[in-house]
Amino acid sequence: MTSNKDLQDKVQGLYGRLSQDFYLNRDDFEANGQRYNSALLFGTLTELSRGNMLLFGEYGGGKTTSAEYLNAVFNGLPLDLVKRVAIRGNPQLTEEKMVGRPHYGKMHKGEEDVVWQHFVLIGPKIFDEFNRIPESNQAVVLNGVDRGEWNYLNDFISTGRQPFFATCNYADRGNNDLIPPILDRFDVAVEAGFPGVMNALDIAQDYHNDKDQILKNPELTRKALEILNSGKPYEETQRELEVIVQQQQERLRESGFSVLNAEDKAGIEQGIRGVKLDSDAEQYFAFLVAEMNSSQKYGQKRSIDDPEGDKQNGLYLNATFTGSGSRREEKSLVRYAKSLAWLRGEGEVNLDHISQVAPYVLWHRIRWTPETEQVFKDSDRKDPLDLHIAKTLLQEGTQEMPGVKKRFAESQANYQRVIDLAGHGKMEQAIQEAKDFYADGRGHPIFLDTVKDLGG
Amino acid sequence: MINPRLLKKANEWKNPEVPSDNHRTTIIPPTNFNSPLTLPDIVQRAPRNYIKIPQLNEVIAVNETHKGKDLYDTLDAVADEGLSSPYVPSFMRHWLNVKEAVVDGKGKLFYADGSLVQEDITEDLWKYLSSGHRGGCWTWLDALFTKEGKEWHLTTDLKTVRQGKNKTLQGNKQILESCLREDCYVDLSFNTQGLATQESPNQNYSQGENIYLYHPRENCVAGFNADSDWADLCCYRLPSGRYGGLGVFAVVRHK
Repeated sequence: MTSNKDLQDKVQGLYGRLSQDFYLNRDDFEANGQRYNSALLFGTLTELSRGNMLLFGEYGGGKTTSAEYLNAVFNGLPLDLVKRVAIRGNPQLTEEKMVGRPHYGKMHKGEEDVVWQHFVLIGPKIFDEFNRIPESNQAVVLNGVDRGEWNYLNDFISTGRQPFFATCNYADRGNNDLIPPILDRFDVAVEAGFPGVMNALDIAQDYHNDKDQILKNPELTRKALEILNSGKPYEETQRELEVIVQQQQERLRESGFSVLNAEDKAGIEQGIRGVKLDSDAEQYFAFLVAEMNSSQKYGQKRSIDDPEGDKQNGLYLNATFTGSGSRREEKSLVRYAKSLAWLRGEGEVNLDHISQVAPYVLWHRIRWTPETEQVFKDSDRKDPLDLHIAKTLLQEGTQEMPGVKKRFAESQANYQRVIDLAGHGKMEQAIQEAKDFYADGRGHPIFLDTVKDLGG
Repeated sequence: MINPRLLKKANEWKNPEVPSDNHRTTIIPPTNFNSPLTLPDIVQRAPRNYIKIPQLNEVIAVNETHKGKDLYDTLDAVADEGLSSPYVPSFMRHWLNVKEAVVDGKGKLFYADGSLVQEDITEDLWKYLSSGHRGGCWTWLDALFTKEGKEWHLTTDLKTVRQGKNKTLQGNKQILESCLREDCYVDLSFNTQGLATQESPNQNYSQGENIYLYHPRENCVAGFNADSDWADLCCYRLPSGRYGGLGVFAVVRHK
C-alpha cells in the first residue's frame, strides 16, 4: 500500500500542476504558512473527502472550469466526458432530465423500467448554474448527492458519496434563491475570483483552450458514453467505466500527471480519518458551536427567533445571524479541517487549520442580520461581504465586534480550569466556577453548556 | 446526570496538576451596540449637547461636565443624571470619529437627535480634542488598572462605594489585554480595551497622527487630556485627584 507521504505528494503534485498550467489564479488562502488558491484548494479537499462544494463568482470567472479540471485529473476522466455529463441549470430542468426517466420503449409494452441519466451514473458530478433551477429540483439533486442514493419511480441505485460541484452566479434576474436547508447540504463554498491581469492575459491567449487537449480524449469519451447509454445494470456500468478510467490515467501518467487509483483513494480516506484534532482545535470547535447554537434568552438558537434578543448579553456570534448551527455543518468543518491537515502532512488538526477552514464552511450557510451587514458594508475587503464577515467574526474580529478566536483566547484558560476541576473529580467546584464564568448570560455560552453537561 | 462524553474529554484535556483554588477573572464581552439606546432626560432635553458614536451605539457629551470633582464624586454625579463615564475605547472611538471627519474627510458626526453636526462645529471640536483650543480638554475615563500576582486587570463600569469617609471603586474586572507598557508617543491603533499597541515612529506630537501614552500603573485610573503641547491618554491618574479643569465627557450606553 502506498504510504501517506507518497499519497500526499501525489495530491500536492496534482494541485501544483492544475495551479501552474490549467486553473490560473492567485493565492488567497493561507494555512500554517503555506499559501493556496481557495477555489483550487477547497476543490482538492472536496475531491479527497468526496464532499459538496459551491462555487460563486462572476460570469466567465472560472467557476465551472476549475471544477471540470478537478474532476478530470483527480478521477481519471477525459475532460470532454466531464463536460458532457455535467448538468447546466435552467428553470425547465425536471427530475427526468437530471436523475432518470421512464424507458419509453418498455413503457409502450406496459413494462416499467428506468433509464438513469449520465449525471447520476458518472461518479464525480458538476451542476452548472445550480441556482437557475427551482428550489424543489435543487432538493431532488441534493438528496441524491448527499446520501449517494438515487430514486426514480420504484427503482433505486446507490452510488455512494462522490465529489459534487455546483456553480452559482451572483444574484441576478435569472436566479432562484438557495434556501437554507439546501445551502446546508454544501460542505464548503468559495469564490472563483479575478485571477489578475497577467493570468487573464495568459488565459485570453489560449482562446481555443489548446492546453486542455492533454486532458481530453474524444475516443474514450465516445466509449464511455456508449457504456452510459447501454442500459446495463449500474454495477456493470461502473466496472466498464473503470476500464476507461484506467486508460485515461495511463495517458495522464505519460503526460507527467500524478494519478490516483482506487486503492490510493481508499488510502487517502483512511489517512484523513486517522488525523486527530488537537485540544486547541477541539476547544475552538466547542466555543464556536456553543456560540452558534446557544441563546440565553430563548434556550437555544432557532431560525424563528429574533437574534436581537441575544444582544443584551453581549456580542457573541449568536447575536449576529438568524438561524442556528447544524450537525451537518459541524461534520463538514471537521472533515475539511482533517483533509487540510492531511494534505499538509501534519499529524493533527491544529487551531490554524480549523479556524482557517471554518469561514468557508459557514459563510454560505449563515444569514447575517441586517445590523451585522451594516457594520461591515463599508469595510475595505477582498472577499464577498458574507465571506468577509465570516472570516472577521470567526477570527479576531474588530475593535467594536470581537471575533470567536479572540474570545477563545480570552476564555480558554477559564474553560481549561473548569475542565481541570471536572477531570480531577471536583464536580461541585467545576459547576460553581462554570456558573461564575457564565455570569448570568454575559459570560461565554460554553460555560452554560458545560454546567448542563455537568448536571448543574 | 453528568454527560459521560464531557468527562471523557475532561480526562483527555485536563492538566496533570489539580487546580488551585485561585479564581480567574470572568471574561465579559462588549455589550450589544445595535439595540435602541434609551436616552435619559438630560439628553432628551438637550440632544445637541451629545454626539453619537455610531459604531458603539453610544452618545457622548460635546464638552466636559462636573469639572473640579475627583473620580469618586464624578461617578456619583454622572450616575445621578443617568449617564456614565466613558470607557476608554468609547472615548478613543469618538476621538477618531472626529479626527476622521476633519483630518481624513471621512464620515460625518451626528447629534443624539440624528441631526448633522455642522462642519465648522466639527472642526472646532477637533481642535478642542487635539490641541489647547478653548483651553484644551480634560476628562476622566472609566478604567481602573490593578494587578494580582503577575496578572494585570482592567476594571470598568466603575462605581463609588462609600464606607464612612472611605471611598473605593468597584466594577467589572477583566484581564488587561496586551498593550504598550512604556510612556511614549503611540500610533492611533488601539486594542479592544482602547489602549495603544504600537509606538509611533514620530516621537514628537503630530496632531492627528499620534498621541502620548502614559501606560497603565497599578491602582491608577485612566483619563484623556489635550492641551497646547499634545494630546495624551493617561493611565496613571489617581482617582482622588481633583483639578478645576478636569471633568468628564459623559456618555449614554447600554447598562
